[in-house]
Amino acid sequence: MSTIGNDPATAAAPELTAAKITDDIIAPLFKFPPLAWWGAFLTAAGLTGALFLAFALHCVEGIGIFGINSPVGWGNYIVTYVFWIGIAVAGTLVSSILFLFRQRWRNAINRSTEAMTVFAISVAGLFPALHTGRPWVDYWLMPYPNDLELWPQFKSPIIWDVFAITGYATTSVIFFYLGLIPDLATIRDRAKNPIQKMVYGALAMGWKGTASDWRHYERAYAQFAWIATPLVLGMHSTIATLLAVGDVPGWHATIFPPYFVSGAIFGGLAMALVLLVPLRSAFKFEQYITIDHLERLAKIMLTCGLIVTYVYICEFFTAWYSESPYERGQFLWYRPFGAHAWAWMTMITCNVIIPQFLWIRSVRRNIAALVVIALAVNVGMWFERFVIGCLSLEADHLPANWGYYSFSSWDWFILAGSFGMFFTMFLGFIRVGPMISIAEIKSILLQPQRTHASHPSDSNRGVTEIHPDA
Amino acid sequence: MTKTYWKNADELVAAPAEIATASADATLGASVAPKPRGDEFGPEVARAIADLRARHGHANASCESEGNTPAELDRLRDDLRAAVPGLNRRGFMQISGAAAVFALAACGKKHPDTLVPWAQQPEGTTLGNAVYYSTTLRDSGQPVGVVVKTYDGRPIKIEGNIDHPLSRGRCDTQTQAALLNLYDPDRLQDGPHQREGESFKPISWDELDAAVGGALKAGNVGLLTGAIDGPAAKRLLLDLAAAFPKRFMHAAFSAFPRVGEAQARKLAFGDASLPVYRADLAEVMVSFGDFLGSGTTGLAEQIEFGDLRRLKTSSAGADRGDAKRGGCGQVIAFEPTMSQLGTVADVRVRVAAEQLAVAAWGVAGAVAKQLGIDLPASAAKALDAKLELKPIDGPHADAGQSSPLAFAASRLLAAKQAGKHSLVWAGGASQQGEDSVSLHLAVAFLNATLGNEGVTVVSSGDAGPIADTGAAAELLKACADGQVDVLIVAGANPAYAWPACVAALKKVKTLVVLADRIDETAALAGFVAPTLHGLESWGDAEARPGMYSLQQPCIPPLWDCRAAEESLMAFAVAAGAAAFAREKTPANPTWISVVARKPLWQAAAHGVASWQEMVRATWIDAVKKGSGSAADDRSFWNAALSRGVVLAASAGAKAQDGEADTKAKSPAKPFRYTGEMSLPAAPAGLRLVLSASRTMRDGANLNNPWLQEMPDPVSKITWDTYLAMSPMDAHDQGIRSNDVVTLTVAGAAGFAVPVHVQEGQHPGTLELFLGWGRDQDRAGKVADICPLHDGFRINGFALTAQRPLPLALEATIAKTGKTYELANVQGHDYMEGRPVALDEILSIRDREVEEAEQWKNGTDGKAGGDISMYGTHHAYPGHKWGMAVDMNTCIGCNACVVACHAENNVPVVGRDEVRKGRVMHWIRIDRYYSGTFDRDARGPIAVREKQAQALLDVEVVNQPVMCQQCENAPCEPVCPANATMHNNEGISLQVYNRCVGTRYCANNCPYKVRRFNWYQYSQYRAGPVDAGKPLTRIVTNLRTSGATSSQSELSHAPLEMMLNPEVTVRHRGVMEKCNFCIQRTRTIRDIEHGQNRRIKDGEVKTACAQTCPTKALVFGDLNDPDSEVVIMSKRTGTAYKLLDKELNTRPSVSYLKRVRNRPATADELGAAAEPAEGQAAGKSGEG
Repeated sequence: MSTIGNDPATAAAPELTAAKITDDIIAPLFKFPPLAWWGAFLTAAGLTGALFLAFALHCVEGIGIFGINSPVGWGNYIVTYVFWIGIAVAGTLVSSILFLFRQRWRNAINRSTEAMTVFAISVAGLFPALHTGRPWVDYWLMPYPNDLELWPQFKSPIIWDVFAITGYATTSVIFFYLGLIPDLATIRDRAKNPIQKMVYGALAMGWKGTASDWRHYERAYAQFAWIATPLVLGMHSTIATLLAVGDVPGWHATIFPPYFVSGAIFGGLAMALVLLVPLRSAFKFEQYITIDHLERLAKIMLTCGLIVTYVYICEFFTAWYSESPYERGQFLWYRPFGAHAWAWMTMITCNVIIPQFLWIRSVRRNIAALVVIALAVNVGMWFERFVIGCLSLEADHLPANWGYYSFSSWDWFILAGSFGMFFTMFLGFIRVGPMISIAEIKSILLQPQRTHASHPSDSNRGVTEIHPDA
Repeated sequence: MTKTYWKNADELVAAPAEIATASADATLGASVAPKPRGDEFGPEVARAIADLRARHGHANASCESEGNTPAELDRLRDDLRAAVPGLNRRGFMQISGAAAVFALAACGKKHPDTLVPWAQQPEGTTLGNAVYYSTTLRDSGQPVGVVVKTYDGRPIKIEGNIDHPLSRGRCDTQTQAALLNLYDPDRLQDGPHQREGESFKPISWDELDAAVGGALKAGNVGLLTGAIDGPAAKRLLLDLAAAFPKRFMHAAFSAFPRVGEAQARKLAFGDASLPVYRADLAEVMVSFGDFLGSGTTGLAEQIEFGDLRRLKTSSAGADRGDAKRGGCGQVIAFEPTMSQLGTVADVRVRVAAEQLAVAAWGVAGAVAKQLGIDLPASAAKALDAKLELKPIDGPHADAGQSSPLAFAASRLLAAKQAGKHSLVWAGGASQQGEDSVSLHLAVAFLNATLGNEGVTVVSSGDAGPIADTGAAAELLKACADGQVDVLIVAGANPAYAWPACVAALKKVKTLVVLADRIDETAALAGFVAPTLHGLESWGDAEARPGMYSLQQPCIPPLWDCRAAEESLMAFAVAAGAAAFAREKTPANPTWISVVARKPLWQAAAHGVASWQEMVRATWIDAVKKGSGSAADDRSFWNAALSRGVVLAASAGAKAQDGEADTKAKSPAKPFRYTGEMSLPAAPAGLRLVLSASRTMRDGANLNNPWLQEMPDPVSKITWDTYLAMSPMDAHDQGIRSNDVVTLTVAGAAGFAVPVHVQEGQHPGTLELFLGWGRDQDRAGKVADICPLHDGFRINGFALTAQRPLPLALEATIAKTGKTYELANVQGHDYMEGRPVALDEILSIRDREVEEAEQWKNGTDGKAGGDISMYGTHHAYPGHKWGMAVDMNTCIGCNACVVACHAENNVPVVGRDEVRKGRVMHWIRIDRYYSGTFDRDARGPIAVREKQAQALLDVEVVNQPVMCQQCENAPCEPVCPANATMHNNEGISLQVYNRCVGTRYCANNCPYKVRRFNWYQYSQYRAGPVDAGKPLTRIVTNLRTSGATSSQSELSHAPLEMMLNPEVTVRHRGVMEKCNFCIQRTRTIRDIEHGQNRRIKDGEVKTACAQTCPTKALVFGDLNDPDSEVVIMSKRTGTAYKLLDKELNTRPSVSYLKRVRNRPATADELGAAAEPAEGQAAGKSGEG
């Protein structure tokens, strides 16, 4: 922190002024979207339609239209659910954990990763509700007063999951909206269109940018960061526990909570990279989201990738050391040599081998290479959930029950539709919201350039000195 | 049921006749006195209703009709008017708000139905209570004594008759599945048919009788039936023969005739009648063929085989937790293919089909040598033939017994020397031809020499059934020669089971077929008379000499059909035979068929003798005499109807479990054949063996979805047949399971068939199953689903014109490059070193038991004690239900699976869903082969060849798995909705209407016994078609029927009538599983509270335990220390609980190890001598 003045990631180009920053960032909101955006948005919306079509058929015909079976009772819905939850976790890492660690370079990217969090959790939160046999009675999983005096069973990890997800989603949305308020006021003040003026005005909740506003805002923001940080770790640990509570070889492991959290950050940052690279080039944000930012994300990604690799090794060792034929069968035989060995190989390749290139600085600073690696990690992390979720169920205790899980055509609708839904929301948001936090980016770019270490409290206070409407 | 709104009650009063008719239909003729509905409303009630309505602003004219006086109404109107005049805004809002609310309230469709109860309750019926009928059904021609459970006149479950010595309360797969055949929508429903060109037109019964009667008046008459054994049926046959003197010929037809056996016995003993084989009286069984699934053996043989296999107690009562126990019978199987018997045999010896006779004479030679008897000269040459048999491993290789032939001989002789009996048996669909006579001669020689003739092989001479021992072929030959003018076929389908006879059938001038559908034979007929199902008709049987069982209808006929016997009698009457003519009397009352709603054909109304009367008369006459009963006629008849079985004094000996009567049942006969016999030549190249399908038998039940979905006991394949191939041949030809090959048999066109590589199959032997590949539209819609789906129509009968079938056919196969996924319910066939289905060697088990005793499996020092550091959580103050599964007697027959289907309304999911692993069976039988094998093994050829070699001599364990009702059930805590919970009788309950369908319980169940309703399976007759291609299927269905599910897939009336009303039909999206038939255990409350006593052991049983032919499943109360289940569960060193030590699930089900009564191998001896390191380590780890 003491080196913040030297940090290339927080160094502004000399020509940047507060007005130019605002203009740059909100420019897309006042322009008719280009054809490319329309193409992407409509494609994503179409895929969202496919998701809901598949879900409608699930309700009409039965969940049998998907590939899940006995013994693999959880498939695509749950795999993809954990995948998107993981994406969300990384967003919270940037928005609150890095905030608490005073990593101010995160100001350049926190808006987009927060948006990613909110949209990913929207997709993810939907899936456990969709995957039940009778989705129309999902509300039974909530503790609500009813004349049968029935409660959900609090011993069930699924109930923990329900609370974790709803709590996390609520917090994420509020945190996201809170961070938007000063920027919404800025847009309100710049907007010419009366409708835009009215909508942004309403959303800005009467923000005036007074010192009092800022004081309350700062305090609330920090408090939400404090709430969100343990919540996200706990939430994803709960998801991990959902599986770890089960007695299925391949699920029943105490290492799962840290394993899942690090894996989530690993995959989520990869997703963030995949989103940031086209975003910065399309919106000409290269001055704000620099290669240094991307490199830092890559470094965290590499760290998490190493943790994940460690867990892979640990699981194998534990299985071997346990002498349990069931654990050994799962880890030492089924995963590397069984019918789904290709899925396991994909996971290892994408999550263990490919990220090792990030040790090389030139790779970390090469945008194309980063995107390729990030895409690989995304694929690898989806397969990691697939391997954990499905391969464990495919070959559990009694060999007579072993089975095989494969997608039905409707599973593809669900998988593609989840991406469609995420990108519909994300693409929609980039047209109505500032993709970089105007207020926060100014706080780091418009400070006097320091060549020596300064007191951290100075830099902290810096934000209050810049009027967002400048 | 009539549906009427209560405001129309007056109309009901006005039309009493209509109610009477409707209710009569619903209640099978019970007459009802209609009760005017208006009476039910007294003036008080009416006034209360009016008040309510008035308060709600509904004072209208209808109140008047319900008892309001005009004055009261006026006052109401005045009150209302008084409220209305000064209508201000607020008042207007109030009234319009109320109006909106009540308008909405009126939207609900809550029209009260009119329920019409029985005015006169039928005799013996209590609403809501089941009525049971004792009757007799037939499985491939063999009678099975059953009890049928009916609700409101609908049979819903078939169970074994506990009074019948051959059923002992147990039942087999085919007989139980007969229930589904009763309600089969594909049965002929609309009366008789006459051929018109290529199709059939419906005619009336009178027209049919006139036409057939006219044809019968002159010319030769042939009658082809199934096996006939009942006294009344035999009498009918005699009467028919008398009605058409010198021009009547009868033959029994069976898909699996026992010709070779009859011929051999004729040669050996001069008596061609077929004997009965009793495994329960034998200590040692040597079998040349599949004793359990051959198509000619049935429930009785399975039950008796169970008695042979069951571990015997060393002395009475000494079995309570006692370590040392007596042995069990020994089974030595010689066979070319892996058969059901092969899976349970102690010693299984692979022999090529043609060399079975050589092997049998080899055993006979060794026995004869020991006893100093001479073999028939012609057989002695068999001893010269070189047989390459895998030697028996073990220390007695030194004693010169490593040859399986010498080993079998020594075991047989040992039994003889100990004064016990043995049984040598040969049979099977393809072991009845000319080429098998020498094999059956060897069997006859062995049985005669060992003194089994008359004890374990009981011949009944002429008193036995009229079965197919070759007469059918003679009759059909007469047809081919044009000597038969009218042929009546009843209860047989020769055109399917012997396609070569179609030409003969076509030569007959008038072919009349009595069948329940237009089957392959009926399709050739001039006239088709639809017959009744066994549950709708009268009849009788003599299962074994002196064991008479009665068949009575349990439901009035569903459709416009007629008993086959009555058809025969009506034809004879129309032909002028006086014997069956009766004075015409009007039918009274007019019976209506249940579903068709048509008046039934009744013999009396047509001047024909009643078949029911004939059965009754025969029984009162002949059977009563035979049984030596002193009762009066009426009592005798009522007792026979009630028990369903009457035992002649000669057969009345008790044949209950374990109380075998070893007295000779028929005189022993010397073997006296000395003539020539031909031993089949040694095979070369691939040889195709045709066997009876273990699931479909003769193919008559191919339209039965329960049986289609029932896994083959050996391969676990459902919904399809296949070509079984030896692992060695598959390796040599580079063929894998599910590859499609073209099978070409000399003299027949090749056809495509999917391959299943079958462990244990002798190299060079292919096996194809008979009973499949019925013609399009002949068996029914369910049967048609199979072959049409991927172009397979595999009828093994069509491969050869020979009858009986030859031992093997020369065949060649060629790869097609295509694959076809056979729907296999078992995921993996090897235990991969996991302690799942355990076995032990009898000869060294005592030592193991002692070790096991040293390693108490509990920390509290007591066997079966508490190994949990948390202790037990649950108290079971009353009963605690549990089960013991004896893997030693389980023969993998699936009777439990079918019983569960019927009892618990378990739906059928269809082939596509089975492929996906979505089978719904609440109980399944896992079948494991010894060793370990990766089907897709890659690697050097030598490695793969070694693996293939290892798979030729595998040992098998059958392990029935149902819900283990764990005390610490992994499924229970993970359910978020509290839909699965534990009750205080130890049962893990599933609350269907609370289930959301998260499926975590299924994932977390280590036994994978939970089943999920992926679709609304109960709606489909045989599962959703093309479930694997939802897009195609749904789009096609939407286009054709406007619904996502095709109408052709949906369940058809009257299948709903079969559902057990005690059990919920589960909805799509909910989990279900075995609950130990909770509807049955609940019934004990009535007994215990009503009679103030605790139930006795065995008084309540789950459907599976009740039906298990070999008593491998034993159900009872674990809180009762004297119950059989507790005694079995405590067998030290033998009983164990599945996955309990690994997961501490504390199941309520105990497994008893499979006991192998064979010499221990050197490895096993070594392992037993030094307490295995791994075992000790494992056990200390457990503690």
